[in-house]
Amino acid sequence: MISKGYYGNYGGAFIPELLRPNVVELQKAFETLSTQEAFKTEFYSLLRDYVGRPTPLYKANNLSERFGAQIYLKREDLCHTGAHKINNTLGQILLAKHMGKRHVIAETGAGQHGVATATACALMDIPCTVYMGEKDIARQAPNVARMKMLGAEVVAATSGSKTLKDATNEAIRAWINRPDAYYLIGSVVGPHPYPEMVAYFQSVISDEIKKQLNQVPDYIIACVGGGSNAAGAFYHFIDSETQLIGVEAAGEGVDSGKSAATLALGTPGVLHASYSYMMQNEDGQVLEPHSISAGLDYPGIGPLHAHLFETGKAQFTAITDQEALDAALQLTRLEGIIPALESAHAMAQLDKMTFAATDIVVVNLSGRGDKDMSTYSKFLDL
Amino acid sequence: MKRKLLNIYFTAGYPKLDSTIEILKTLDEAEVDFIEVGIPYSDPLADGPTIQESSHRALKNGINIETIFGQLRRYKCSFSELIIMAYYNSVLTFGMGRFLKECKEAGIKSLIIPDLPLEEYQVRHQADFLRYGVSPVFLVSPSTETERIELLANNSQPFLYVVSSSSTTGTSSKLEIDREFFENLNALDLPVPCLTGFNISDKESFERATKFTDGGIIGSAFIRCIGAQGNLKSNIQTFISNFKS
Repeated sequence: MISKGYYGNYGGAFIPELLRPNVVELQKAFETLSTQEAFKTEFYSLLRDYVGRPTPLYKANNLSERFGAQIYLKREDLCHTGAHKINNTLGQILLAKHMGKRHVIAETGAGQHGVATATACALMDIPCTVYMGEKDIARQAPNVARMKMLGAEVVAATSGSKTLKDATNEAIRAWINRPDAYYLIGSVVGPHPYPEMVAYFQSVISDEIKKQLNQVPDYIIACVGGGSNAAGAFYHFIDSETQLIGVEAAGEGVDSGKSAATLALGTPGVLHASYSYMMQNEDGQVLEPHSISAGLDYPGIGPLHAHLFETGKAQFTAITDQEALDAALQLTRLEGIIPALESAHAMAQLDKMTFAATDIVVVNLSGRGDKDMSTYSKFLDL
Repeated sequence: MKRKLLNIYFTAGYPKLDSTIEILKTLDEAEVDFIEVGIPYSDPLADGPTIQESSHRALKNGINIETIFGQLRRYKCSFSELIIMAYYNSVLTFGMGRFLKECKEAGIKSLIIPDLPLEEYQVRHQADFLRYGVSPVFLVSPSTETERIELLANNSQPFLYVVSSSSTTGTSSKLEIDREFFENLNALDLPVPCLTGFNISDKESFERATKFTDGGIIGSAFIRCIGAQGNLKSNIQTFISNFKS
């Protein structure tokens, strides 16, 4: 469904000329390596032996009873480092290694991509610098400590809203200033080939769901910030019978002025070198998003999702901070699983739907909640 | 020796919302060849801290695109040629046709969009540019291959913007010149003048940066000048006379 870096109208590579040699080099390397058997073998053995894949597809009986449907959780929270992000960082670090890159740059929101990048870099002995919004450094402290322990340099992004958007700006600027480095993007955003490449490395999620379930599910639900876990969970079910549901962060409410629901509030534009939906004013100034979840606190969305949204191939909804907190507590008490705040948005969607008893529903549990314990303690009065 | 062309960049709406006209007038009277008016953007990816900060301040001052064109229409330069620098999303969301029409009405004939690649320009916007008599200015850097430099120069008016080294604007206090690249550039028979930009801060770096080109572009250093204490007009006059002496 992708042609010359575009999903329908969305995508492209709106990069300064300075970055063109880097992006062209990356496009060629990805095209060549991703089809090579040796590369795939190396990638899939790391996913198996290092990440612990396949992750379980767990039939959640208590949740199923509560919602009157057959509810399955795709346990990406059980991946090494605690979220799906490691699937992509291992794919890209292999690419970086084959390209002979000696330094890695990354951005991170919740810190899960930062940790997964620092992990991959430690494994391959490549130094890395992770840009992280100052606000996120404060609210995701455990992940900052993990990155540092893994040997990464963590640089605070102090511009704008001091969150993921600004960390991405700083990472792109760092890449312009250091063209020999490899820029390891964590979501299905950025200039072509990143959206396609990250979706490809994450597609292992839906590949496994397909094999584990042995039948086509009625629904797949995943949270969406930039949209990497949703891209991975949807990938092999796009154009199937399955109803795909992406869940954005409504923050304090879609119309509250403090929201990160890009598809609900945004219009088409270019953010981080890709044409997609984004939250902006009539002059094209990017608006500051809000979400309790650092990983969803982003005013843009990947071009794949813009395309799925516009063609009706997926539905997108929005869940508030409070609904996500409630859903996190409910999952914890019913199934003994503490989800990441991002994944709690996907869980909260269950409450918004009516199911038939035979409906098969897969929720992508993209990450675990250890990193969010201070937020949970504060808001759940623990 | 031929006189080097001088291009001064400033962010519209900085340091104050209505500073634009005074800055234009002073630069025009000082006979600066090109004045590059920057449209402030919330996420200026190709810019270093100085221009980021000026953009942020300008937006806080309440500047928007309509106000900027209103200001530009109010002062006609008698010496200098005006150029606009805007990020692609600003122009796209404002409306490319509408933006170019405003350019035409303000007497602006060229537009720098640093994150609009040549190929996307040709497919999506070239027809509109031609209709309103506006031409794009493209950038090249020491990492751009010779063939592409020629291609970009053929599509760029009134000059080709040559970035001194791989960096964001005003990021390094020390100008480094890739001598081999500039010698090769000089040897090419390009149809437009080449102006060197990024990290030029004083007379000495201007001379080094323009040794092999037709002129230079000063941005961040000028932003620091207009942001400084004291009288805006005399600050600008002193700044420009340093480069012209």
